[in-house]
Amino acid sequence: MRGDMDLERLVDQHYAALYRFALSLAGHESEACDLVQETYYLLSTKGHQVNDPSKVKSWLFTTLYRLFTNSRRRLVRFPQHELSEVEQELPGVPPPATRVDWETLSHCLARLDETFRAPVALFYLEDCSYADIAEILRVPLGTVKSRIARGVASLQSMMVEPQHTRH
Amino acid sequence: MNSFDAKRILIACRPGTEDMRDSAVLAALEQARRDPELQQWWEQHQAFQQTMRENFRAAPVPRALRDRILARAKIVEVPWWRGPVAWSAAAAIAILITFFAARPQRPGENSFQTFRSRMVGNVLRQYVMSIETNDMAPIRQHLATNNAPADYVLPQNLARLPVMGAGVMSWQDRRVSMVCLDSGAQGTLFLFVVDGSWVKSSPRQREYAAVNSLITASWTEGGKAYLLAGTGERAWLQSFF
Repeated sequence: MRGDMDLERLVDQHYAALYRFALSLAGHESEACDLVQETYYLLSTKGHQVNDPSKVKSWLFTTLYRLFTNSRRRLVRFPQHELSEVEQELPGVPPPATRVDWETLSHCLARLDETFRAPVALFYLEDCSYADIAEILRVPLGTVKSRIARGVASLQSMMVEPQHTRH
Repeated sequence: MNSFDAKRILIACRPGTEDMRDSAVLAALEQARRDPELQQWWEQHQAFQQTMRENFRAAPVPRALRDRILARAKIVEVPWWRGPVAWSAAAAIAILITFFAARPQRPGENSFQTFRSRMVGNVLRQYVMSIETNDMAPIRQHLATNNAPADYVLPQNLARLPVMGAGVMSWQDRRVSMVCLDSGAQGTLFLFVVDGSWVKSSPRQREYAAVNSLITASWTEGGKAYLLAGTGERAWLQSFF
């Protein structure tokens, strides 16, 4: 790794956010830990390929996402959802903020289609711009926007469901 | 813009971020000012978005994760001589290594014990996967193309592990296959396969031994000598057979 990218410092800066992203994707603590460890392991061996220190964060999230999709042993296809598809899924009223906690959120994330889970997690977790999310996930900007809209709408629908219908 | 279109745009908008400067968002907000119902929805949605952001960032992080990350990453951290400043020194070292490696080996150096020690030493210092994939078929093809053993047989439990990649090493002028498997919590498992006729005293029955900081299992099958190495306890390694 380049001398100006101290590994320990990079771990301290990003490992918590990376873990939360991994947890959002995988849904399991152990798998999330493995993804983060593997990501930093790759940074320690391939970090010399990252010439711009300001790009390390993006590299980390991109690598972790790639590790996650590879671990599923399937090709992740990116269907082009039109934004209009969101219309039928917009709930009337968002759930009250008091009903949203991490446990509720994690249960709903586990039910959310994997296609939407990653962009939604980046959207809320890191306040990433749409352009950053598109770069990390390697999808077009328009696709990012439609997936976020659809993902958020789906989460809201799950959260306003009556308690007894939740898994 | 109607309220329906405005809602579609605002649902993916984060208050307090640069999202709010988007021209479509500004137009949607203007529509919300004209439509009280949309305005009410927008106010509730902003609270929802804020709570979602707080909850995502509040997910607990395992305490030991940081240390585990550093422990794993530092095993194969690229040494200082990868930097551009030391290229000439690295080249000189490489020439010396090549010179000494090409010298005739003393008798006895092709024992299995030596093989095991060398392979473990290689992965503890630094190793390279010349192919990275989670598919075993191209790995076998890659190894065969490079004249390394490719028709190895894995025990059933070992074969279930995800494969990460492979590399080709040299030992006593013979090619050695190194296959990297992902054991999960214990990290990478290294499987080395070499022509058994080239290794003296290969174990006839499975043998376990601690070598440096790794635990190893060795066996001979089908004319090949196998060496499996990883971190962890012997009982854990035994579980793969």
